[in-house]
Parts: sequence; structure tokens; C-alpha cells
Amino acid sequence: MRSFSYKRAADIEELTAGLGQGQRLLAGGTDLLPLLKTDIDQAAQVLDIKESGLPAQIEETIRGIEIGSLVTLSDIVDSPILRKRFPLLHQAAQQSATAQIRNRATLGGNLLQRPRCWYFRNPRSHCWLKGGGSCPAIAGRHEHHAIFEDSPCRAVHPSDLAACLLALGALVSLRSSSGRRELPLSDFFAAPDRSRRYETQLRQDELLSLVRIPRQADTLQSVYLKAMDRKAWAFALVGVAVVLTRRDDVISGVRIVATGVANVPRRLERSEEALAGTRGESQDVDAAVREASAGVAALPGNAYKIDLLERLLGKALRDLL
Amino acid sequence: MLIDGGAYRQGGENSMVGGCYQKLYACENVRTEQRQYYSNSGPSVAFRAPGYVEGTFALEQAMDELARRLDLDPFELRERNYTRVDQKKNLPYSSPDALQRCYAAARQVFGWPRRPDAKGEDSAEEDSSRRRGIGMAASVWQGGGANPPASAQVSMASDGTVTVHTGTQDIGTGTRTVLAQIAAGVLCLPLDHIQVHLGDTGMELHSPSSAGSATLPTVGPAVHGAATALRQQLLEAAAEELDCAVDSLELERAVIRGPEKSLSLAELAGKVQPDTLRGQFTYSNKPDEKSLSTFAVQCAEVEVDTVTGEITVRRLVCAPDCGALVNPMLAESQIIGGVTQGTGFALCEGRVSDSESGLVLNANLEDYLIPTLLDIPSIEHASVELPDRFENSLGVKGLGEPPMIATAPAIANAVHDALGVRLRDLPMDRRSLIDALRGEGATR
Repeated sequence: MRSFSYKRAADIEELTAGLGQGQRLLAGGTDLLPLLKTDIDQAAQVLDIKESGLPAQIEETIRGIEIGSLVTLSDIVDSPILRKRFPLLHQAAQQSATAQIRNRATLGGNLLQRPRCWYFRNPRSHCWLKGGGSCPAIAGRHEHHAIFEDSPCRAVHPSDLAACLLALGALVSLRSSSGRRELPLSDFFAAPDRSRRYETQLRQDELLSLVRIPRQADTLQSVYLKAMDRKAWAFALVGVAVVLTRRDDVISGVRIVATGVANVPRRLERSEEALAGTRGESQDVDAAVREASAGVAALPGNAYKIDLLERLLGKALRDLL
Repeated sequence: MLIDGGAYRQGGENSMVGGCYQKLYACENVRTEQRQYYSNSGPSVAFRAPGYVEGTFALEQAMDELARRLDLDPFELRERNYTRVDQKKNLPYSSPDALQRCYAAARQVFGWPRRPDAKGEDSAEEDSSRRRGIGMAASVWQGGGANPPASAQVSMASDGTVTVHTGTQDIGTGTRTVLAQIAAGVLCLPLDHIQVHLGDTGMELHSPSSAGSATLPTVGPAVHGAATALRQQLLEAAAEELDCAVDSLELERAVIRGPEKSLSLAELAGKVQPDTLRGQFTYSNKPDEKSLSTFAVQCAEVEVDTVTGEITVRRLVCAPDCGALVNPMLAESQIIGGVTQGTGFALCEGRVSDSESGLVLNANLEDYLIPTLLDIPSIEHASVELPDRFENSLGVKGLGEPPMIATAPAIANAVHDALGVRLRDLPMDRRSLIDALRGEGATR
């Protein structure tokens, strides 16, 4: 760990004015501090944003439900409105980490956390994501890695909530000193490429201020299923978020997002297509499950994730339908 | 058996993986071969019943397979192949009935073969994807007996307080408490009158290392001997004070009663010249015409979700042979700790290293998963109180390591009972179960 300067931002203007100079933003710190301690992140300045006035509430507005980036995972677990309207968010938050971590960890940090890949996190491994030549997981140990080949990197995004928010069609509000923009999460997350070895489209001079879930049909049903290697306090091997609406017994809208299978949460559009317009009967579910792994390129040690993805999706759909 | 010893020898790593094959069952022809190779990896070191934990996972699943092929209850197969002798040393076991008692205790407390409903009883649905199963496994451990020499001193100060001095340590196994109990028992004093001074090598009181579950059976008799010597000094001093014969005295509740008068130990200590009430004892060797081993039997009940591949351990019963029980609560703590560690070994723990770089990839508590409270079911101690008087004067045996050994095969056998698939690799994580379900074409 290297020494760094620590400063508290008193308001959003002060916060955004200083962005882009390489400082890291500290809220819950549950990801940033481990990264700093292991020298994976060698930032010289840390800016504490807990008292910066960034949104920290869950609010229902005419535009939908807005969740501030400083809202903690515990706040999401405890929110009656989220629990009632979007059970999958409650399920995902409750299955994330531990109570202690959920009390600290914020939604903004959760969406922006770096991969938990054991090569990326190992200070002695110079992997592709850290600027190296290739991804060591491909020839090495990759049982927790991506089964889709969307990037030279095979790390997966660790967030449970990201998959759920993506399935809800959520958007992120990004702020900088020059203004603000809103991006669908589906555009915000992007597999790392050679020009951007990072999992999102967040610019250096931007911060994530809130997440907005657009208004949804009252009949919306949702579920998040997570497979992990112990009962609690583990990242998803595979997680599946399903959001669907039915009109007159026919599936009128469906979004399916899987986590743990690709660099960023991945929509399973072909499975969605297999279900849309059907009555969601057994053969429709089977068809959706068959399409889940379309295009996969599993590695020798993680082919089980294909099976796990199909099994979780089948269970999620059967639970809902 | 091949053992990955890493790139450097550390000591303690060349464990007896074949030990259980040689000692657990009657078999005239056993040959085991064990080789250690160097690899591009960190060193391996001994860990709670080294070698036996690993070897027993294979042997006890093989026994389960054999019982199924023979259509025999797994207890019965084991009891038919019972041995009262250590075939490797060609010596009788010091407690030849111990394993038999473990079988009986585990079977009774678990209610074997009471089988839960094949489908989860919590779920009324006909198409429940959950399957339950039961399994058992036995274990033997070469440790748990005394490893002399060991010396101890028990002294009484002028105010009547008693101090036990030994060179041993308490590595979390409750040594401090049980040594105090042993001295208190001999001196008929309440436990809080005894202080225990551990780890004092300055007094040249030799103790063995805290290994092989040997601390209690080695240091316990030394403390007992030293306390007995002190007791004799006290009685002799009291006989002089009370002007009567030593054998007319009785020591009870910190008071020495003579035919006419009584004297409290504190009063007596105040009358005697300071620093003279001191008993020492050295436990120097033990007979070698019998073989000391410690046994255990465990039963597990699991529930497996055949869709998601999730294993839930619902019950674990452990019946270890630990000789005479000194402190039931500490014994139970050792069992809960050992079985918990065994459950971690079974379900989620394992070192992951990169073969090219040799980096250990999960050397942290985020990637190296130890079980959480949610992963651990109720762990029941099926008590086997069988003092091993041949082993040492107190009849005690170590309990640090034995409770961990049979947990993983008991769980694996229960998984097989539930699903009909055999998991031969550890940990039995989601990946191995999903791969096994696919291989067997089990229901989705």
C-alpha cells in the first residue's frame, strides 16, 4: 500500500470540479480499500464523498424510482417500496456479501467495483486488464471466469444488483463539472477492449450520481437467482435476473440478464425472444433455456457454468410462470 | 498415492495418506505406496490430522460403494471387517472396543438408518427437486496418545493458592482449563483455586510440541503425578501438625480431616516453611506392547437441489473415541470445531494455484471460502466414554484431530445416497456437482 492524500468533498460542485486528476472516490470503501492495500490501484489521492451531498435516498418520482449512488446495500434490502415493486432487487441485495459489508457498501460502488478475478487481484500477476499482454486465466484457473468471449479479459463483473437493474432497464445519471448525462445501464457497461481496459463507459471526469428505474407495469414480476459456493458471503458463480410482464396470459415483455458469465452483466436476448408473445408454457421455457447459451465459448474448466446458467434460468422462469 | 509437496520442503508435509488403509479394517493384504513430488507451488504443511483426512475421503467412499454392491448396511460391512489389532504394528489396540463403541453411539444418536423423506419434507409439492440422503464414515488416527516425556510442577503458596507449571501451550484446545481440572481433582480444591502457568520453559519442565492430539494424554498425567506428589506432602505436613498418622487423614473440599481435628489447606500452607510445598512429576515413557489409535464415526444427512446443484448439510453426528472425558463442554467444542473444519474441507475449501506461475490464487478470505454459520448444521456429539487405562493413568486421549477426519466422506456418501452420483474430488462445490449431474444424466 502506498501513501495517499485524503480529503473530504463538502459539496457536489467541489467534488466534480476536482474530477479527472486521477483521484479515487471513497464511499463505502469495500472495494477501493482492498485495491489500494494490494497496490492494484495506486491512486495518490482519495476523495471522501460520503458527505458530498450526492443522492443517498430511494425516491419515487414521476420518472420512476431513483436510487442515489450513496444508498447502501442495506438500504436496498430494507426498502419496502423496492421489496414490493421489484423483489429481485431485494433478493439480490440480500444475497450480496455480509450484513457488515452491506451496511457500508453503496450502490454506486457496487456498480463500479472492479472484477474479483484472482489474477487481477493478485499484485504479482500482470494480467491483461492491468495492462499486460494476455489473460492468464485462459490457460490457467478459470472456473469462476467468463463463458462468453467478449474481450481479451475473461474476468466477470461481480455485482448481483447490476444484473437486476439491467433487467429493469435502469439508467445511470453521470455528472461532471461540465454537466450531466444519462445512459442506459446496457450502454454504461461494456466489455473491456484494447482502448479501454475497464468495465464501464464512465469517463475520468465523471461520477455516478444515481440510478433510475423507469416506470414499469404494475403487473411486473421479477426474480433473481444466485448460485454460489457457500450459503452466504460469496460472489455469484452464475446469477440470473428475470423481469417479465404478462397481458391476458401472454408474455408481453421480458428481460433476462445473467451475471457471472461475461465481463459485464449480459442480456440473454435470444432467450427473451423465445419467450416473448408466448404463454410461457413448458416448451416455451425449454426453448428459452436452450437459447441461453447461444454464442458461448466456455473454457475447459468453466463449462459447468453453461449448465448452471440453463438450470437457474429454467428454475427462475418456472418460479415466475 | 501421489502427494504434491510444493517447491520446498517444510517438514510435516509428508503425511501418512495411506494410514487409514493400514489400520481401519481387518485385511490381511494391504500395500500402500506413497510418493511426494515437487511442483511449482507453495510448500504444503501439516494440517489437523494430516494425511488421514485426505486418505479417508477415498477409503470411506470406497467402503460405501462396496456396501452398496453387496447390498449391506454400511455399518454392517464395517463391523464385519472389524480389527482389534493394529495390523501395521502387529500389536493389539489399547482400546480394542473403542471403534465398536463409536459405531454404536453414532448409530444411536443419529437414529440410523432413519431416512428422511426422499423428497424434502418441508415441501408439499410433488415435483420437488430436492433429494435427501444419509451417509456415514469411520476414521482412525495414529495420534491422540501420549508423547512423553513431559514434566509438570504443582505448588502451593503460603496463602493456599495452587499453581500448575508446565512447558506446554494452549493452542485453543482448552489445555489451561483441563490441566487445572486435573490438579483440582487430585487436591480436592475448587477450580478457581488453581492457576495454570503455561509455556514456561525457564523452569526446564519439558513438554512435547502441541501436535498429534498429544497434549492432554501427555501433560495431563504429568500434572496428575505432580499434584499427587503435592497432595502427599500436604498430608504428611498435616499429619505432623495434627499429630496423627497420614493414613488416618482425609482430604475433602480444601480441608484435611484427622481423627480429632481438622485443618484447612490454607491454614496448613501458612504453617509450613514457604516454597516447600511443591510436587514434581515426569511422565517419562509408556509401554509399547499395545498400539494407541483414536477412532471416530460420523453420520451426515444432506439435502441436494437437483436443479441448482446446491448441497445443504442438515445434520452431522460425530462419535469420537477420546478416552475418559475430562470436560464435556470443551470436548463438544473440539467436535464442533473439527466437524466444521471437515465440512469446509468437504464443501468449499481448497487451495487454488496457477500451475504456470505457481501463484496461490486464493490466499485470502474472499476467495478461500471457509464455511459460514449458514453452511453448518447442528453438530451432535455422540459421547463414547471409554477410558483407555492402558494408554495412561488418566485414561484420556487427544481430541484435537479425530473429529475432522470422517466428515467429508460421510457427507459425500450422503450425497450419493440422495442422488446416486459419486463425487470423488474435493471440495464438493457447485461445479463438481453440476458436472456429476450432467454426467449421470440426472433430472434437471
